[in-house]
Amino acid sequence: MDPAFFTIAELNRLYDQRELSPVEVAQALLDRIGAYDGELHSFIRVTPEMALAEARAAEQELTAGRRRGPLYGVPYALKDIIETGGIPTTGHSKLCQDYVPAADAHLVTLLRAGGAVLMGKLATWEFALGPSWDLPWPPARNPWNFDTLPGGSSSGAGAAVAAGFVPGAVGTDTGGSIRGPAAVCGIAGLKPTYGRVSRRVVFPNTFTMDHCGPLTRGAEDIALFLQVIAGFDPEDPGSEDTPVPDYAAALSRRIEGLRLGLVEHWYASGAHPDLMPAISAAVEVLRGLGAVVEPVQLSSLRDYTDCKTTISIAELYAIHERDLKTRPQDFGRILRNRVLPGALIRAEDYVQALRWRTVLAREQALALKRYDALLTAGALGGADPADPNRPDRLRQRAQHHDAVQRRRAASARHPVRVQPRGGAAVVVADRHRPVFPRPRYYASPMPISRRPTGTAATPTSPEPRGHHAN
Amino acid sequence: MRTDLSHLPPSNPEEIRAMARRAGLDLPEELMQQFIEAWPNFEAMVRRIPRSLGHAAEPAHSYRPARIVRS
Repeated sequence: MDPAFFTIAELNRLYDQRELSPVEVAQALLDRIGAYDGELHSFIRVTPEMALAEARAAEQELTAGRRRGPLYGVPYALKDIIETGGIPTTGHSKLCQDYVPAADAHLVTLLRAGGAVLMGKLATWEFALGPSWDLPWPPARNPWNFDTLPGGSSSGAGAAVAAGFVPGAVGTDTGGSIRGPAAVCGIAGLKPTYGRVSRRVVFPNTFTMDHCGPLTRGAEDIALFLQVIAGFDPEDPGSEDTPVPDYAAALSRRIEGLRLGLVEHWYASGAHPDLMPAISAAVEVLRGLGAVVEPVQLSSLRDYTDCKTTISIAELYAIHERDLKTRPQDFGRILRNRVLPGALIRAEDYVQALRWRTVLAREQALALKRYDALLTAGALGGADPADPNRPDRLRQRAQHHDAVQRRRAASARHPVRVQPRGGAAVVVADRHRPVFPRPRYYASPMPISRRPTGTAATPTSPEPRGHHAN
Repeated sequence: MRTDLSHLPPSNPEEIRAMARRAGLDLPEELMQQFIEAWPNFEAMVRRIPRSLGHAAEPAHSYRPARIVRS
């Protein structure tokens, strides 16, 4: 039985029925990573000995009839800006290539307590900005087509889940870094409500917009994964001290009568020609299931982008100021050129952007009084080509809105989920409600292949290129 | 009445160099050239930020003294 594309829910069932064991699954996925990741570069570091040790521990408890939660014995991997005690955490940057944290991030502590099996650390963009090609590790590729990128900055997470290396991964999202890879890798991704998942000892990008969240192969798995990593952390100043709901329970709620606002003007022009029909098909499925879908008008994508980017580069520059002044050549070109301008952002620019953010967040809050959720595109284009000479998209900012729509929700801190379907609709829900549509939506007849064609090829390298730890 | 700064002319390379110097950036010439190329995109963006919000319009910060002290 090849476990490469089993979902977390399926693994739970197979473990319960003793048809698969955590050790069998971990070993099979390690073999798969070893066979195929030489081309994909989704892992910076694989941790096979630790993975097998954790899998054996889980197996023993499962055999004894004990289970510590929905990720018990389930393999996962972490974006390499999430710190892991005793395991290097590089930020995919030369600046931190030898950094070994002393302690786990809070969410890693929760995953370990829940018996999940860590397979390794995943490629990202440098400190979650990129993609750069002048770094110690190459950028991850998209398993659906190795000539393209998997989006970013949770690039390795998107690629690894789509390639069948792990059923789930943890990424981070400041301006679309979970949602973008989910959209272009054909998987599910959730940027939770700000403060729902701790950011403690996760390399910061923009303090007031950073989120940690799961990437999996479907909504049910998102619910199971979030259940484990969500929770209050008194050591994270942005953490929300509110009860964690039963996310899986929301999966059984009816879609009939749900009111959805369709933000069509964000993707009506300039999008890939396949996008409109895909979103329209998704809308018709939802209407067929009884949802009420109505158009809604919000501020332009450019407004949200200007606001978000001004805040981000000011915060990013503050974070990296010392290194940018003393060793700027050690950063990748893309990060350097995007963050150095933060040196020229004036205090009043930053504060005005923060005040504007309140205005934009309020407009969304008002829309979410009328609707249960907002629906729009997850990305306007397809996957970017894997071309090291491609100009930085920020230079095309005025004309290029790809992925920009995701920033609007980051500005308002609402949860956003990307669907594993063509067009990758984004749901922006009220921050106090779970974001999980009905399984019936997923049973709808929309085309998707579970196995990216790229990984079906014969591996060109018998050995994985990722570095091995422990 | 103007509500933003988008009417201002873009900074020229010498002005960008001067602003970078004042910000404490002492970049090698190659990196300075990249910076001079990158800045105008950001400058245009920052100048589009509205400057006419009411006096009481609050920034979207989340300062919680008790939480800071605890951590």
